Order: sequence, then C-alpha cells, then structure tokens
Amino acid sequence: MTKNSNVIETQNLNKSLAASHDGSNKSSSTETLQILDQINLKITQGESVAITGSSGSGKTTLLGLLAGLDVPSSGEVILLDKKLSSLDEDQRAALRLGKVGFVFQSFHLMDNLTALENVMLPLELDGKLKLKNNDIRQRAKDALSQVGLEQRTNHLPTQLSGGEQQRVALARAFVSNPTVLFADEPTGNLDSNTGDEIVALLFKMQQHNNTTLVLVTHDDELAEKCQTHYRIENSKIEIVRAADSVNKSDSKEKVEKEIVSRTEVSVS
Amino acid sequence: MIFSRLLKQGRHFWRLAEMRLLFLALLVAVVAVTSVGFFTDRADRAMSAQATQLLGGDMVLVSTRPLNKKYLIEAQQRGMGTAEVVSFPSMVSSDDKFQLAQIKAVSKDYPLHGKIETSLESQGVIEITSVNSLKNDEVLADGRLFVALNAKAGDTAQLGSSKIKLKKIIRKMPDQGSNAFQFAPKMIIPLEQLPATGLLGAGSRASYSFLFSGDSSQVKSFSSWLKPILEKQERLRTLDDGLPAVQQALARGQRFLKMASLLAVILAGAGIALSSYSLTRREISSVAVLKTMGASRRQILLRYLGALVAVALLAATVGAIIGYFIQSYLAVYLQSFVGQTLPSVGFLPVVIGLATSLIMALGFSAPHLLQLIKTSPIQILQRSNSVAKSSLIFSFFSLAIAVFLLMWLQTSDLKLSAYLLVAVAIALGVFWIIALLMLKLVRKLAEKWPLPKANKRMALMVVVFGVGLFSLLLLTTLRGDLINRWQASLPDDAPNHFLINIQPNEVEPLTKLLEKENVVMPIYPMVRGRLVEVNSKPITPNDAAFSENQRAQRLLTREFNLSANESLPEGNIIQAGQWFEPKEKNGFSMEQGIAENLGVKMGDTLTFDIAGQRLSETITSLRTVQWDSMKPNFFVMAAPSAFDGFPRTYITSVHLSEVNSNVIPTLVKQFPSVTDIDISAILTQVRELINKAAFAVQAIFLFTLVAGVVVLFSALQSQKALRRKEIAIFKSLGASRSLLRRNLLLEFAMIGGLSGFLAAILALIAANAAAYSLFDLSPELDLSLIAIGTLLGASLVSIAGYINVRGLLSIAPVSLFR
Repeated sequence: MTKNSNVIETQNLNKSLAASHDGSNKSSSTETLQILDQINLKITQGESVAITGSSGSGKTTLLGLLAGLDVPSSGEVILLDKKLSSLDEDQRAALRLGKVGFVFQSFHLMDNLTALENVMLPLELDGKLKLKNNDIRQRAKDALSQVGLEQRTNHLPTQLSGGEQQRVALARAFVSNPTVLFADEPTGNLDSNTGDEIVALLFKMQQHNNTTLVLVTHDDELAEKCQTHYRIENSKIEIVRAADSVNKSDSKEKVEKEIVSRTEVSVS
Repeated sequence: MIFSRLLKQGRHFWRLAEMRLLFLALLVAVVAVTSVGFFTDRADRAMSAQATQLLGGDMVLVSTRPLNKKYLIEAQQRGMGTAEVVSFPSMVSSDDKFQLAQIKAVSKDYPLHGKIETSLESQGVIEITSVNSLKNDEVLADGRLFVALNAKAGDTAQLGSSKIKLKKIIRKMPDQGSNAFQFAPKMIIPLEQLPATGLLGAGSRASYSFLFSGDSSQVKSFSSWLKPILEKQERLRTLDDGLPAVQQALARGQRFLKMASLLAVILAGAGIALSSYSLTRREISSVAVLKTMGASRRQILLRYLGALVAVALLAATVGAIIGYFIQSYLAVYLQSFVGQTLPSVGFLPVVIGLATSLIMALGFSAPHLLQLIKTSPIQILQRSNSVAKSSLIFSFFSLAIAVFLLMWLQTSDLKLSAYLLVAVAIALGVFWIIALLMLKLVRKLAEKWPLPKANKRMALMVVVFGVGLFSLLLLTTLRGDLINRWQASLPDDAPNHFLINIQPNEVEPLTKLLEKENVVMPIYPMVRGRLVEVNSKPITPNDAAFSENQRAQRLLTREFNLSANESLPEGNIIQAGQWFEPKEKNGFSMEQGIAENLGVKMGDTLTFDIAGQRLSETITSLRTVQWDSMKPNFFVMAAPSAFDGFPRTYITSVHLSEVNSNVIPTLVKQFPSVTDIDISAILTQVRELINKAAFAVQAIFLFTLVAGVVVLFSALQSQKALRRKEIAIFKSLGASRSLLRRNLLLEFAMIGGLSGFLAAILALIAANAAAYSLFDLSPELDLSLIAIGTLLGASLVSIAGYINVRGLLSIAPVSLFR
C-alpha cells in the first residue's frame, strides 16, 4: 500500500435509528432519527485524523461504522480495500484481526488478566500468525516496555493506576502493529497531566509505526495535534483542517520533542 | 495441547469472583452427587444384604421334589456360594410329650447370608452357632419347642428313628420372613443326619431348596441359565419376590435417597444459573473488546466453553475427593448401626459426578453463553452493558435437557425423573408468575408505605430462593412422613402374634378373653377359595396369558385367603370404586397389584370355588395394602356378610407384651384348635432394617440442607457487585448506615418470606403428590408448613443476606467514581 492510498473510505454513509416516543404521541412512534447524513471521507495510510463534535453528535457512531463494529443504514464503508457491506460479522472481525487496534476512554482491560496477558491477547487471537507462546510473550513484553511498563507486567488492572491502565491499552493496541488505530476519547478518564502523557505516547507510537489514527474527541486541543480535523454537526461532517494545510515536518518535530520531555517526566 | 490451553484459560478465569462462585456451586453439586452416590451405593448394598439375610441367600430355588444336584454344581463352578435345605413337618417327642415341629435339614454352609443366633436359655446370652459346629446328634430348636417338650438345652428327644440332642435355643435366624406362616416351631438339623431319621421316604411331603449367593452379575447370569431348564414344580425366589414387607420398605427408602440427592443437584443448579448469569453480565464488555480486536464468534465460544469445561473438571475432581471423605465419615456411622462390614466403594459415583459437573456447567450456562457470543462490539463504544436477547426456546430446551439428563443420571428411574422434571418446570413457572404479581403488589403498597422498591432482580431472587426452599421443605416433609409412617407402620405395639384357625363359635369368648387383657384387634373371617372363572370364562395357570407370569401362575395354583369386613382395614387405601356399605352382601374389593397381575379390572366378575360351593361377585373396588404393617392383609375381600353361609375360620393379630405373658398359655388351653404364630423375631428384623434406612435418610437430608445453605450464600454473593454500586449511590445521596441496614433487612425479609411462602405451598402439593404416587403413603395436609416456610424463608434469607452485605455498609461512596 502506498502512502497515499486510502485506508478508509466512506461513500454516502447514512445512519438513522427508529426513535420510539412515549405514548403521548403515538403517530410519531415510527419516526426515524438521523444520526449521520451523507458522510464522505477518505483517510490515507499514516494519516492522523480527529473527529470532534458535541455530545450525541454521532462521532462515536461514525467511529463504530468505520471500524465495522456496526452496520450503516445506507452507504458504504471501505476498510482496508474491503467493502464492509459485503461482509458478515465474523468476516468483518477477521478483517480487523491484527490490522485494527482500539483505545477506549475507559481502557477496557480484562480484569482477570495481568498487564502482560492483556497485551498478549491480540496476538493469541490471530491464528494466522502461528506464533509460539514464547514469541507472543516476548512481543508483548517489548510492547509493554515501549510504554514504560516493563516493571508491571504481572500486575492485574485493578493494581494499576488509570494512566498505567491506558498505557497497557496502548501496548495492547500496538502490539500487532496494526494498520489502523481507532481511539475513542483516550484521555476522557484521565487527569490532564496523565492525559498529556498518554497523548504523547499515542502519537509517538502512531508515527513510529506509520499507523493510521482515527481519534474521536470533544477536546479541540487534542484534535489540533492531528493532521486532519473533521467536525460533526447536525449529522453532517465538515472538514476543519485538511492534512496538507499543516506543515507536517514542523508538527512532527514538535510532537517528538514533547514526547521526549514527557517521557523524562514520567520516568523520573 | 488442549489440556494446557484449558489450564491456562481456567487459571485466567479463576481470577473472576463469579467464576469461583460457579465453581463453588458446581462443587456443591458434585459433592452432593458423589457423596450421596457413594453412600447410597453402599447403604443400598448393605440394606439389600440385610434383606437377603431374611431370604437366607441371594436367590432360592424351591421344589416339592428333590432337586437335581447339577444346579448346585453349576453354581459352584461359577464361584457362587450354595447351601441346601430340606424342610418338612415331623413329630418330635420327649418322654410323654409330643410336638409337631418344622424340621429344617440344612447343609453345613447354611445360611449363606446372616447368622443363626442361639442361646442356652430362653432369655440367655446370644451367641452365633454354625451348622458346622453341630456334632452327630445335635440339633437347634425354637424356644417354643423347648417349652412344648418341657426340655432345656442339652436334653435329648426323639426324631423319627434318631435320638437327638437339643443343643441350643434358636433366638433368631435368617429365612424367617419367608415362612412366618409355618405354624410349627422350627428345628435345625445338619443335613447328614437326615437319612438316619428315616423320615423321608418316597412321596414324603417335604420342601427342597437350594440357596445361592453371589454378586449381582453372577446371580443374574446364573438365574438366566437356570430359568429355562427348571422343572414345573421348581420355583426361583429372589429378593424381588415373596417379601413384600421388606421390599416395600426398601423401595421407599431408596426412592427417597435418590430424590434427596437429586434435589441437592437442583439446588446447586439454581446457584449455577445465577452465577453464570452474573458472569455473563460481567464479561459482556470483555467480549465486545475481543470482538473489536477481531475475535470471531467461534473464538469467543471456545474461550468461554474452555473456561467452563476447565472449571467443571476441577469441580468434579475436588468434589469427588471431598465426596469420598464425606461418605466414608457417614459410613463409619452407618457401620456402627449396621454392625457389619459395608461393601466397598464403587467407582460409578465418580463418573456420575464428572458427568453431573459437565452437564450442569454447560447446560445451565449455555443460554448465557449464547448471549455472550451474540454481544455486539459496538456496545463498547456506546458504553452500554446490555445483554443480547436470548432465545427463550433455546434457554428452555437447554435447561430442560440438562435437568432431565441430571435426573436420569441420578435416578435411572424414568417415572421419578419425569415427575421431578414436570414438578420443577411447573414450580419455576408458578414461582415466576406469582413472584412478579406479588412484587407488583409490593410496588403498589410502596406508594403508601416505606417498602423496598420491587424490581426484576427481586423477582429473580424470589424464584431462586423459592426453588431452594421448595427443595428443602419438600425433603423435610417427605422425610418426616416417610420415617414417621415407617415407624408408625411398625409401632412398638405392632402385632407380634397371629391367631388363626379360630372357629366361628370361638370368636366371642376369644374376643372377651383378649378384652380382659386389654388387647383388642379386628378379627377377620377367612375362607379359602380357588379362583376358577373371570367373567364366566374359566381361568387356569396354564392360560397363554400367564405363560410369562410366574406370580399369576402361582396365585392361580393355590387357594386365595378370602375375607370380609364392615370397614376398610387399617392401612388399606381405596384406589378405585367404593368400600362396602354396612350389611351389603355383594361385591369384591381387590388388591390393585394382584388385579393388574391377573389382568382383571373394575366391573369384572370373579368366581371362587370355596370347598365345592361357588361364589361369584363383581369387583366393586380396588385398593392398595400396606404389606409392611404386619396385620392380616387380604388380596380379595368380600362384602361384610358375604360368607355367612360358607365354612370359615377367623384370624386376628395381636400385640402381646411381657405383661400378657399368660395369654397364650390360657388361650391354647381354652381354645385348643386356635394356632398361635409368633412373629416377634421377624418384627425385630424388619425394625432394624427400618432404623437403618431412617438413619441413611436423615444423613442425606442433612447434607442436602447444608448444600441448600451454601447455594443460598452463593446466590447472594452473585448480587453483591450490583449491591455495592447501589449502596454507594445511596450513601452519596446521604443515606445513613442505619437506614441502609433497615432497607436491606426489609428487602431480604420480603424476598425470603415471599419465596418461603410460595415454596411451602408448592412443597405441600408436591409432597402429597409424591407421597401418594411414589411412596404409597396416604396424603396429609399440614397447613402449618406454610407458616413455617414463610418464617423460615424470611429469617434465613435475612440472616444470610445481612451477613453477606454487612461489609458493604461501610463502603465509601467515593468508590463510585473509581
């Protein structure tokens, strides 16, 4: 895949829900609620994209559709050159396997698995890799040391702080070296200092792996760090800033500097 | 490879409290099944062993002619134990005294099961005597023979042409159950002494029998070898036949034990369903995350299936070990009661425990597992935790199949399994509906009074606790009924003497004599008649319909003892039709089993030949008879005055204690024709059997009780996470600890009371249905059970519930925000 080939593309994407009302007005009980209206976007390899919008604007719905977690009412999503409408649930899952990573607002680590075991999961699920258990373990350990948690591999999530849990989630998301990473409010449950650290780490790893990043947030400051910025308003998507309008080398340099300083802070 | 994966997955899931609870519930089930299995297996075999003592062997072959020795040789070649008995009546004399005695000439291995207990004086120290130890002319005899001959141990007497030495008094011996109605006192002589007596010539009236013993497979294969080659006059008797009293007691005991362990399993099933439900709730987000990573439905299924199988295997292993220890502890007790070595432990309960564990883990969790697999990955972004809708039909079938398999595993008794399956299904449905209705009512009432807010979760709790309490109350009632009625069927004053051959003109003076001694018993006329026609068509033992039915053949060969009475004899229950009106002259009342055996039904006309006269009557009622009551029981009874014109004698049974010791001598003097049959020895044997069965029943009941309490706790535990959140919210809103405590107690008391109330009503219905159809006991309505159930439920759930959540009361509301 060349750098400018589309990793994600949507064509006239629509999502609506049957909105049920209470008995007061029975005639409107079949009314539909339009959440996303005619969304068309293209996201290229290595691009970082922020999607912002107010609560309930549909930005998370869009994320779900792009990742193939949900199906649109009409229109098409092309993820990694596959039309999602032609795939069933398991085929969509297979498409994500090893190529799509997720970071969530509330971390969603498995409570019953240690940090290391959590990070090992994506590799264990991917039978095609035919990795030996020791190799999986080693790769997971490497991923954990990339996020600075090599000392906490055998801790359960409940024994980790929020920031540490999100680092484990990052390691888990990147361990399979995915093509696309979806992040849903990755700093939403963290205090601002910890949030900044996580963001720095996220961009560092994204750039290091040349991963396409789709980030949903209500935080415009965070959105500023992405190359492209879309905003959803009244079910429609509008572009706030396109990738080309930013001086990429500048921003990259800036980000990398920031990471260095943050990492130093977090290590100390 | 698979094993190591199972191990890994098991280890990961072990970290979840819900999985540990699931394990606990499975463990309870497996421990219940295996310990009860191990124990009933042994107790069963011990009880059967006791019963075979009454028979003298596992199987007895009886004939009116000398038996072919090849039977004995074949059995010995098969490694079975054998013994030989020749039994005949003969006069024994000493000086000028004569007494008819029943002589039993026995081979040296007699008896194969049980022992001959003897003493030197009538109330002397009991010792065991083997036939082998008897010298040339030595014999053993009943105390009655000693009395009749006015002899004491060591005296000599004359038997045929032999001089014999009455060595010891027989206090108790096997083989008594079968010939209680041999009127003459018994004498045991070694078989090799028999020829010398010169008593058995050609054509002598004697009964020849071979006794066989072996394990059940030996007995089975030997009897299938034996049956086809038997001569017409040769008859096989096994435990299944000819010992109605013992058999009925045994069958009831076994049914109860099976039912008890089955209910323990159902109890645990409630716990498993509940913990797998909360496990599902918890794992939904994990499944959604796995799906975002690209896990297929198959991978998710395998992941949770693997965890369940791992937990089930662990529970089966640990459970079997614990079960083994519990049963060996129980067995020590049983042994001291049985006073004999118990048969060793079988391996089957382990297999059954393993199967139980797997069936329960999978069957009770399958609907939840399916919901998990169906979880949509989008949920993880929507921050919802909703459970995918499950197919009701699938859930129903999954549970029904699991429950049925468990029942079948436990009972291998289709009737009982079907009964319980239907009972459980109805109970669940009724519980659910009534629980919802009552909670609706509570919600209405809560508008006026400060009652806890009723919700779906409470309905679920009511159902779970209700099922648990139902099982316990059902067992309590049945256990009480069973033991009470066992003991009531043989109370201390159960008749121990049968008086037969009472002439019509003796009835009045005899009744007066007994009344003077404060002994009153119903007295029944007895007429002997042969059944010759059914609906005016001749019936004979050779009819094609009875070619496979030995029992019917036997019944038709011999004469029936017919009787008549104004009122229905105690212990009889009418199953169809009506008992006779006073002064009624027509109709027969027939015992149900015998009617089925002979293929006759209500409305059929039976004709009996009574000493040349014919009596034809229609069957106007069918009844069941309490065979273990030790009272006169009759297959066929006629209307009160039906036998007025027929030659008849009377029979009665009385209880005579030490106080009445002079009754029998007086009676014998005054009514020389009346025969007294002393059945005290049989009574003692049956009583011992009942006590043992009652102990086993109590022990297993107690275990089920413990299992029930454990499940109660695990059910509560599974709600703890939700409660933690609730309490934190209430606290953040400013609720005090005392308010929370009051609310919790009120809620638990309400849940418990409601489930106890429902459980008691259902248990009452179920217990009566079971008593009637499974245990042949007459139904009884004890309404106090409802009050007891409600109170028990309320207090049990309140206490257990409070203990369970007590720790949560001090939770800091800030935990909500973590």
